[in-house]
Amino acid sequence: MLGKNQKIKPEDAETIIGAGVKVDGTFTAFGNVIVKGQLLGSLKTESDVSIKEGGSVDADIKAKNASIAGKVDGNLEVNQKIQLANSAKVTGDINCQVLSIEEGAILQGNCKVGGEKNATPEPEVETEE
Amino acid sequence: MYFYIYDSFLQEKKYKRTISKIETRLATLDISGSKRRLTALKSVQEIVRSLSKNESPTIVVIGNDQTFCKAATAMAGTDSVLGFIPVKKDSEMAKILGIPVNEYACDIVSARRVEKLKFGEVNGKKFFSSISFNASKTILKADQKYQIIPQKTKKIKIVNLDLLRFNKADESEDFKRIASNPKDDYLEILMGRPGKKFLFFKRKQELDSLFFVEKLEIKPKKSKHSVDINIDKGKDKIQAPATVNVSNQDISIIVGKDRLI
Repeated sequence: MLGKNQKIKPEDAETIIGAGVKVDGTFTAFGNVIVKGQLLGSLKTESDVSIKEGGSVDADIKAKNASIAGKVDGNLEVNQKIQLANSAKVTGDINCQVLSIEEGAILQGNCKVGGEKNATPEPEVETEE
Repeated sequence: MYFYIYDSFLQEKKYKRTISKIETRLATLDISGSKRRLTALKSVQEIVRSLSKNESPTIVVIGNDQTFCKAATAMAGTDSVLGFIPVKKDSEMAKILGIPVNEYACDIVSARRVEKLKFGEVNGKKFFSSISFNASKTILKADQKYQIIPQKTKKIKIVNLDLLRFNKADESEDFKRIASNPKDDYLEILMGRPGKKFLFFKRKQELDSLFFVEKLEIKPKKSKHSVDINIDKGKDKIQAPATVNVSNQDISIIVGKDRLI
């Protein structure tokens, strides 16, 4: 019998969009997301995104890490690392800390790699005099 | 006070020895109690409702997964505790709850390790394990945010408490989770193609997708389509359109040390 330690916590759970499935809308997940099918709209997760070969995403992506072997049409905003495999085809802007591109990958768009993390401007505070 | 509900199929001669061993073990552990037998005229729901009127009863189902699930849904929101003595070796509930089959389950009942588990609801009707339906004629809308449109998928299963696979065929390597979590506020949507057996040929199941949702709407693709939703692997069915969510009622269940939840 399988042990109790083999269950997975919700934050580790993997959402899988299979090859026979199309998702349309604002997709927000709490764990890793694997895309083998089709996704339209937007994709946001605090964990990692993996777009497998044959997978197609027509959406802006926000994630911690991204590994892409399929097709992406949208901007990628990733906190840490983006890996493009040789079968990857990305049309959109990339913003990440580390970018790894295999020979054969196609990337059409602007890249911003490295720099300050969380480079969001401080909100201006109005003071009364 | 312990009450034991005997499934109707246990009247068959081949189960006589098993029942005798179970009763002996219950007597040894000093947890014998009042017996009720299911018949064509007495449903498990009726029996459970009448037993739940007693003060904090422990109701133990001796039988199969379907009867256990029916007893669980009938006990929703009561302060009764539900136990299970499975007599079918292929019981999936037994595997999930960490309960061995036949007389060995009596020790689990006696140890009385209790967990509170939630239910799923489809159009207000509770289910304990899962609901399933044909994927080809349906569209799903999850959490009012996105649509899931099955294209090459054959079957959809929405899981509250079950193993994350369609049948006994091997699991896909992508599926690290073995069982669902019936203690959180999410239901698991499992999509793919179930395995099949044709004489000597066995087709493996293909698990395609896994989603986690709080609320789900099931709609037929076209108004002329009729979609039957099968509840808890039994004969109960309802028709789409339907809304599925996690119920706010729970149940106390006796579980074993080797449970998967």
